[in-house]
Amino acid sequence: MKMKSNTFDTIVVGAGMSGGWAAKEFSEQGFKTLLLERGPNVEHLKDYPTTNMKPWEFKHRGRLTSQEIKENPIASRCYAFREDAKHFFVKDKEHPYGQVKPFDWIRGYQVGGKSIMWARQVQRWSPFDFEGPARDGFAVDWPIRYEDLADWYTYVERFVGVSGNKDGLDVLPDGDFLKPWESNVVEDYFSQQMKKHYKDRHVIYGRCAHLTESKPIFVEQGRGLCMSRRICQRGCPLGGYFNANSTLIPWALKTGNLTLKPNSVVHSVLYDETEQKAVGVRVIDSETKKSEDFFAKVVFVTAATLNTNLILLNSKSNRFPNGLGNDHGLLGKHIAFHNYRATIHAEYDGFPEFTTQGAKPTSHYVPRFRNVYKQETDFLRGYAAGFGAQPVRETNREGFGDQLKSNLLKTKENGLWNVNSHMMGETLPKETNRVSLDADVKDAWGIPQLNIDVDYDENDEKMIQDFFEQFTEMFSKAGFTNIRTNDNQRRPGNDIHEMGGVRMGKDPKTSLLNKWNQLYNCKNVFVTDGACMTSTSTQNPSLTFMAISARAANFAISQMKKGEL
Amino acid sequence: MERIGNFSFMNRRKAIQNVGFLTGSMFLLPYACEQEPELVYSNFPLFKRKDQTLVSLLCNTILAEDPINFPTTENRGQFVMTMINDCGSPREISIFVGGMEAFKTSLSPTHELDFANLTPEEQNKFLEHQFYASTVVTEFLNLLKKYCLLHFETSENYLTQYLNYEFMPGRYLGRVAI
Repeated sequence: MKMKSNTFDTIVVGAGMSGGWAAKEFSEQGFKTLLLERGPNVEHLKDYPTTNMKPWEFKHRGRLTSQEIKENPIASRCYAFREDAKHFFVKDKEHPYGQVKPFDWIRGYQVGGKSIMWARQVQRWSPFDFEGPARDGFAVDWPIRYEDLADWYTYVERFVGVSGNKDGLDVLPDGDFLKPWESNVVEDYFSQQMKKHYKDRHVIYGRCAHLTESKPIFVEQGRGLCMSRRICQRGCPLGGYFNANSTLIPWALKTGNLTLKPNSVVHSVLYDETEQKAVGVRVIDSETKKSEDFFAKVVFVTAATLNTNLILLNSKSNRFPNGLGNDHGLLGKHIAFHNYRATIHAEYDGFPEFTTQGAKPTSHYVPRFRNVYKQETDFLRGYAAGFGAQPVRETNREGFGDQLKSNLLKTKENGLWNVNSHMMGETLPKETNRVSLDADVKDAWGIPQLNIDVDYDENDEKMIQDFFEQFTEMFSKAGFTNIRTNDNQRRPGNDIHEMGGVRMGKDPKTSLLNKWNQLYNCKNVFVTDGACMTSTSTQNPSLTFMAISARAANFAISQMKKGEL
Repeated sequence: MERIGNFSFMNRRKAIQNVGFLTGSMFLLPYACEQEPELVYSNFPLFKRKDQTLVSLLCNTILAEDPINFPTTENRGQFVMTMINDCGSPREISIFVGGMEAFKTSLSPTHELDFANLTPEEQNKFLEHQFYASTVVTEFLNLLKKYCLLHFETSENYLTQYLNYEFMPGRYLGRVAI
């Protein structure tokens, strides 16, 4: 009886944006779907406690207390872990992990996952990105190409809403865009200067998952236009930016086919030796710590990159003693991320007569220009960069008393503009960058602790130097002054773009997932979050996770309809 | 020892002129004898209501509250204390503790002079001297000033009227002529 009530067509593990997409596709097409989330529910509108608070209403004006920093040395290094959004982040003490080498594992355990606090940048990958490993021979070849994903990018963009310009660049394909916000004078100027001085360097509007136009689909989702509040990490009462809570999960629940089960920590995927396939998952209730099994024909593991690795490594059976699908010992290996260590800052005095008004939730973007058409540097792959320009406000804070007050009231923009850029470098998916289960230490739910062994390498160091040299040259050509470069020493993981460990590939001997994201050795288990990534490219990866999830879910649906899964 | 109430202006002026000489002394007795109920600041267990009054007075001298033009939810002194207590780094906590005690004795080592009883002009003159003295008291005053500035610069009216802050701008104009 229990088994019957716990049986679904599909189980999706993890209610972030990858799992949200899988759940939406299955439930929309009539499949009874169980969506499991280890954290509590976060209901759109209802569970955004700080969303309408003004800066002056925060007790600490947005700052963390020293006790919070002391208790959360890892999480507090994340730019968004602040007084207004700290409740959406995993606290270090509550969920420890092993660091073989320093690694900041930033997590969001709740329905919606990190899609509540993400940076919302959504650039498509290009054909060059999927061909990268095949061209330079590092890592295995992707089993898919841009063309396999192009329509799914469009499918996702139309549903989530993406503001962007049609730029016509082969290194960063255009999508189905809503109108962009204005560029400011210095962003436009830098873009023109780069066109003048280089054939292959572009400065474009950073495409972002915000609604700048209303369309029937967004009205149906109950979402309104983005009002440029730029406090998205708190959750948006307007639904102005995309997160799983405002869009995917309510949409899937509306079908009547989705069962959302928060507070459900997935222990492992259950493998049936006789049937030679997965039959469900084992769940530990996060509150009562009681174990319960759930069953389905198909399991999507989308628990966010490293937890997906953990679950599969912990899914042991006689057939798979080293983790599900892991005959070759490659599960948990080839982890990569994005290198955000390099930044550059300068000033520009060319537009003293102009300023800006209002706000926009994005900045500009410099698509990758290194090693695109040929190998031209002593490092592999390349980097993209963000670019921003803001008028400088000058405030004299000298003195005290009446003099200080008078000084403060004379605050004004001084005609200069601050300009800055930060590198987003592709790191190489090395076999030595890996995660594994601790043989002795278990977490509060009896699941082995994850140990993370991931680091930068010489390729990353060379890329940082190249970024400094190239952007110093680019800023100089644009006439920017007072140029300063900085290696901020961010630890791996702090980019929150960790990927790999369950990589896709053409050959089951060297990879775990086929071109449809099925485990080669257990075809009814799919992995479509960051864990599936063969390489990382330079773009923010969430859009690609979503497109891959929608594509794989629809493949699984077609197979289920044919009775082949 | 003369009582504060009988203290002549000449004596006060002399004391103010001697602040550099006096700041090295640390007399805690008058404050240790306080019987007033304690305000609760976890990092400052010995902090008394009188101390809060002094901090509030100092903060208001550094950057006066302006409830008409720049109203805030909490008063400046309480905000500054909350920030130092909750968010202060270990170094800031240390600066506050050492600086507070040094300040109390900087005017006169035996507390016959009370900062609160100085005229506003005398208070300003005394603070001006301390701000430029490069002592532990200077660090203490700069710490208070840091959080006074935060309080003022995050007040609703300063943000909206002087820094162009809008909670829900709904637009971005990138080429606005000044």
